[in-house]
Amino acid sequence: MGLSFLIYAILDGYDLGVGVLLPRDNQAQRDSMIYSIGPFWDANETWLVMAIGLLLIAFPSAHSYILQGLYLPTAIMLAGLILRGVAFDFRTKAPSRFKQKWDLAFKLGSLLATLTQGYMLGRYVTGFEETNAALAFALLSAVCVTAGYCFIGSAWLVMKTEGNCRSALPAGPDTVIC
Amino acid sequence: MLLTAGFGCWYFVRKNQYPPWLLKATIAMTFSGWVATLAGWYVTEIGRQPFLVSGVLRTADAATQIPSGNIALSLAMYLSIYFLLLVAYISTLFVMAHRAIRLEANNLHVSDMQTDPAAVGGGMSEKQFNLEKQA
Repeated sequence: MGLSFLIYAILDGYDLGVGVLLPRDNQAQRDSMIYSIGPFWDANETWLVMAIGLLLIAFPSAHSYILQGLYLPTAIMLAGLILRGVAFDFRTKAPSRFKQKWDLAFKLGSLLATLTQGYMLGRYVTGFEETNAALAFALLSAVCVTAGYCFIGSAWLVMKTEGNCRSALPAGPDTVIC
Repeated sequence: MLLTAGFGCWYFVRKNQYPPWLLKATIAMTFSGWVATLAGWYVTEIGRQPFLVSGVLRTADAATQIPSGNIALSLAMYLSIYFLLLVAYISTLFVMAHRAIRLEANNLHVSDMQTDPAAVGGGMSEKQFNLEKQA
């Protein structure tokens, strides 16, 4: 189970990171970025399903305790993942004037998923404490997990792309995110 | 649903064409499969009450202890997402159908799109794109 969570964080981490890094003003770059993760992102997310399934089967009481404590963030993460998966298919099939909106939905879905995953990690690490310090730690963890995913996402893009898309990357995640 | 499908097949074999009224009837039947699935699901869910697993687990024992406000919030979120997606799905279906009509009117074929590298991976071919600009 730990192995599937690790593999999930690395594999889906890079395609979530690529989603968060999508530029808002450059259609060609968005196309090549999304095409670069096209064949992989779906399989990568399957590791999450396997990890949660293993958690349920191997540690049922931990499963119920953890997912009850993290009910809302999990629901929000699922909403983000739904947005992402749907935007991926609709962006090429909808009228081209809506394509940018779907790309934005892809970016927002990715961002929601990375932030909630980081937040859940933070809550889990502090043992679901309800103190302000624990909540602040969870928020910090949300930002840091997003930054980490952006980092492996950019590493993936350096490996897979060339030209403008690649040279635009060293600008760093902080300038590209907004 | 089965009657419409069977009658449509029979009509096509006999007359080798689809008249407009039959096509309209087929459009009206779009969600019949969905309705049938949901109806079957309702029957199983309601039919086995008060058990969640017949004879083993009662629904009352399996209910969550999470505050009901949270459940309502997530339910509202899922409902609104699915409503938006349903609207997007239906409008995109019509857009794709109209696109196919335009392709036919211009004597283009699906194979023209498939040979185009931009079309691989679900991308939009240049011809298709130009057609959209014309429209």
